[in-house]
Parts: sequence; C-alpha cells; structure tokens
Amino acid sequence: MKFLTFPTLILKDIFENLTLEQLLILSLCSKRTTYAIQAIQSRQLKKVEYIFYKLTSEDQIIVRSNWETFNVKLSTVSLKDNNIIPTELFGMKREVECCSPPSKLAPRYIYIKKDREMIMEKIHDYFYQIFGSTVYYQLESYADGFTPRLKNINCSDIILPNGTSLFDLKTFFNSSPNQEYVRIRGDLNGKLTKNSALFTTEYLDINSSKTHGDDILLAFKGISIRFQDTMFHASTIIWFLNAWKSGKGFHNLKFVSIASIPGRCLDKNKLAENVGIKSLGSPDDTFEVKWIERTNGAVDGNRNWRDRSFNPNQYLIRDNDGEVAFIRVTMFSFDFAVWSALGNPEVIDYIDMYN
Amino acid sequence: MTSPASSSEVKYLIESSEGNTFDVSGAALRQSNTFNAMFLNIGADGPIPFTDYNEATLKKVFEYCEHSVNEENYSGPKHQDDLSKWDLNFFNEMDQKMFIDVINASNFLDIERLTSYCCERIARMLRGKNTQEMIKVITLPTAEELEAKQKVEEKKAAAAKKVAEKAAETAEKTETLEELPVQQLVQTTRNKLTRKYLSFSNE
Repeated sequence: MKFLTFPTLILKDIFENLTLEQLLILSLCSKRTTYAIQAIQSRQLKKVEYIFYKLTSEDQIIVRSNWETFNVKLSTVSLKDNNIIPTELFGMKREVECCSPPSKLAPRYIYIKKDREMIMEKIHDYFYQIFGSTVYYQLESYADGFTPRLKNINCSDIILPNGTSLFDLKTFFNSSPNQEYVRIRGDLNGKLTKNSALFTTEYLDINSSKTHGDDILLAFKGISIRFQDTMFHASTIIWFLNAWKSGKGFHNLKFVSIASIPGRCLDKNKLAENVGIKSLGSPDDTFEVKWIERTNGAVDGNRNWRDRSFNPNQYLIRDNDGEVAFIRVTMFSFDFAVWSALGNPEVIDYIDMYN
Repeated sequence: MTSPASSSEVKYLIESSEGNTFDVSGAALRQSNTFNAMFLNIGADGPIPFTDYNEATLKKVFEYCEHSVNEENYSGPKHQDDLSKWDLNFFNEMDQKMFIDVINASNFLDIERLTSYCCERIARMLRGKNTQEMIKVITLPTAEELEAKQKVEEKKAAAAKKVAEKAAETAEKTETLEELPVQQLVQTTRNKLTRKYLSFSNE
C-alpha cells in the first residue's frame, strides 16, 4: 500500500484513528512519514505535555499527553550479542546500530551500549523536533558511567557517576539553561565558572559531600537553593547576607537552606554581629514561617511540591526596599526565607510585636 | 438522467474512466457530498462523468452506498468491531489494489461513512506493530528503489538536455540559411531554444 500517496484528508483520517504511541512508531518509519505526521497531525502532537527520560540500568522514556501515557523502552546489547538490524530510527543514520525488534509486548528499542549517550541525544532531539518546545522535558539520570548531554531539558535529577568531568557537566547545563528544577548528587569534580548555566536554575538542590558550596551559593541567580551535606565557610554566609541586605544581588532569591554542614562551621552570634541580624525577643520566642517548597523531580509531569516550615528567631531587613528575611542558624545549618514569598505573610506582625 | 432528487426511484447514469455507463439510484448517490454539491439541485443531462475512476471501483463504491441507503444517518466513525457482517464481507472481498482505489474514489465523492471505515481499517492494519512491521504495511520505497528512481530521473534530464542542444543546433543552421537581419535571427533562435528546452524538461 503506497501509504503516503493518499490524499491529505485520508492521511489525516487514518492518523486520527491512531494513538499517540502508534503515531510515534509510524513517524519512525521514514523521514517522509515524520514530515507527513508533523504537517497533518501537529494538533495531536502538540497535546504532549510531558516527556520523562528515566535513565537507569534499564532506560525508558515516558511520554504523556492529556489523554494518553506510554513508555518507550530501551535496552542495550553488547557487541557480541549483536542482532541489530540498523534502521534509521529517530532520524539516525543507517550506520547507527539501533532498532526495534519484533515483540508481542510494547515496542522496545535496542542499541549497542557504547553508543548510549549519542543515541539518547538523538532520541531527545527527535522528540524535541516533533513534539516541540512547549513540552516539559524531565531527566532522571542514575546510570553508571553516563553523563547526559540533552538539550533544552526543563528539570533534571542527576547522580553524577564517579569521575564525571566538569566539562561534560558544563556542556549539559549550557545545553539546557534556565531549568526549572535541578538536583545534583555526587562530586562536581571542580569549580563551576561564575557564569555557568546551572546558576540560572530556578530551584536548585545540591547534595555533594566532596564539594564546597560557597561559589555555587554566591553565583546563584534563581529562586531557591538547598544544600545537603555540602561543605561551607562561615564567611560565605556572612558575605551572602551582607550582599542581600545591601541589595547587591540575589534579587530573585527567596529561600536558602543549608543542612548538615560537615564540620559545624556556623556561629550564630558571630553571624549576627557581622551582618546586623536582629533577634525576635528571647530565643524561646519563635513562630512558624511556612511555604511550599519545590522538591525533587515531578510526578506524572506535575511538579512536586511539599509543605516546608521553620521557626526563625532572627531576621534581616533589606536596606533599599525594607524586604524582610527570616533566618534560623545552628552550628551546622542555615535557613533563610524571604517574607514576601511565604505562605503565611501575616508573620510579619510578629516583628512589631517582639520589638 | 435528469430531475433533481425528488424520489429515491430516480436513477442516474454514471460514466467511468473506460467510458462505460451504469445506473445508480438517486438515494445512493445522495450519500456523496460531491454529487450533492454538483448535481442535486440542478440535475444532470446525460451521464455524470466520474472518469478518474474505473467501472469496477465505482460499482464497488456505489454498492456500498446502495446497501447503506436505509441505514440511519451517519453519526461519526464506528469501530471495526461494530461493523455488520455485510460490511466486513464488503471489505474482506476486496484485494489491496481495489481497496486503495475505493478509498480514493470515496474520498473524491466525499462519502463520509465509507471513507471513514476505510481509514479506520488502515489504522487497524498499523496498530500493534513495531516500526519494521509498519514499514511493510505502508510499503515505503527502499533506499535502493529511491536510488534507482533518482538515476532514472538523472538519465531523463541528461537526455532532455542532449535533445535540446541538438534541436538548438538544427534551429541555428536553418535560421542561418534564411536571410534575416542579425538581431532578429539571434532573437528567434533564442526563443526557439528556450521553448524546446522547456518542453523537454517538462517531459
């Protein structure tokens, strides 16, 4: 059946009888089927809201639209076990060893393990080309020896394999700047430059016991940053608070949380002296500040949020606009929340009450 | 045949690509939106020419229309599982070539119900298949076929160019024999060359 010689209206009618998953499989048949589907059925393609690359020992990609969700399963084979008949899937050249073997279950794609990074890039480029930039692209990479280099990702959760080069990481962040959420676990293996695209992330979580977080905090331009088990110098916190207080940067920043600092470096009183932090009456006079905190990844494409609160006993007022930040400091943790971003802004009344 | 569709008894003559004619009832024909738009209100003097389609295809299409005359008004596509035994037989007894001709004719005649069932049937052929299996269903040209096609086109273009050059040469000789002012001779030859080259290229 010379399928592509059918008139456009017929092709449209056929496409409308196919699910998104079947359309995707059909689009992989050739460049011409891809173009035909893009041209005729773009309305259906644009209904895709969320694509999740879950790269672990078994890779899979979850594609979700407002009425359909399906998985694209990917497996690697070794060179010895090579029963791949190369095709031109996902816009790859025929030489690239990737194919979809016959299966009674859901279609899956197999490829040679050594080509994994390149193949994932090609697949993502293909999805980006057909589904477009309005989709929320999420990446979860827990795979050994794999550093993602996907472009235009919106949200990523990465466990860095041992020996990940800083160059590869920079390449990834530069390819996917302005991410909505990033969580990095593992050793960064060096110092990111001040203009790294990582710092344009809105919500950033770092869990890196072998890394100093100082430069990351000071270069951060987003809304919320959290560190766990990451090394810090007390002087950095002082520098940060002074910069915020004097309005020299951190205009977007609403929340900072540094937990479990190794070495217990912080001294509450010293911090108060150096920055001009004010106390809320006696140490026991506290109240609760609450907000909704962005947390790791997304569930079915819906961003993951959770309730967060702490009981501050100190605050700082920004000189130029009177914005208030509530602060809690212990020897090994530091919390900072800007009043105007809180879920209970009435707490500002406590400042008048205690002072 | 004449007369706007006042009664289902009215018959219309249909002419196929072979020039053959055959009768179709007005009721069956009225399932075609193309017919409705073109002839329903004005009637038709003589056979209605649907000469892009052969007799067998048109008869098959109107067989379907005759059968569904008494069915309720079409209200969107039905799933293949909901098709009647007659419908299933109708589709199953067609070979692939006939099936494709029927789709195209049904699309031209704008018979919604038949077109929709045909499309659903094709979609059904694609469901549950992986890419390799789909490629077999939709018969994409292989790389070798594409290469061969390109070679044929290149050969054709080369041949056309050669013929054009030869024709230009001949024209030049002929024009030289005639006694024409130089400017006019150049212009005439140029025009001829352009015309001939264009006509060969179009072939």
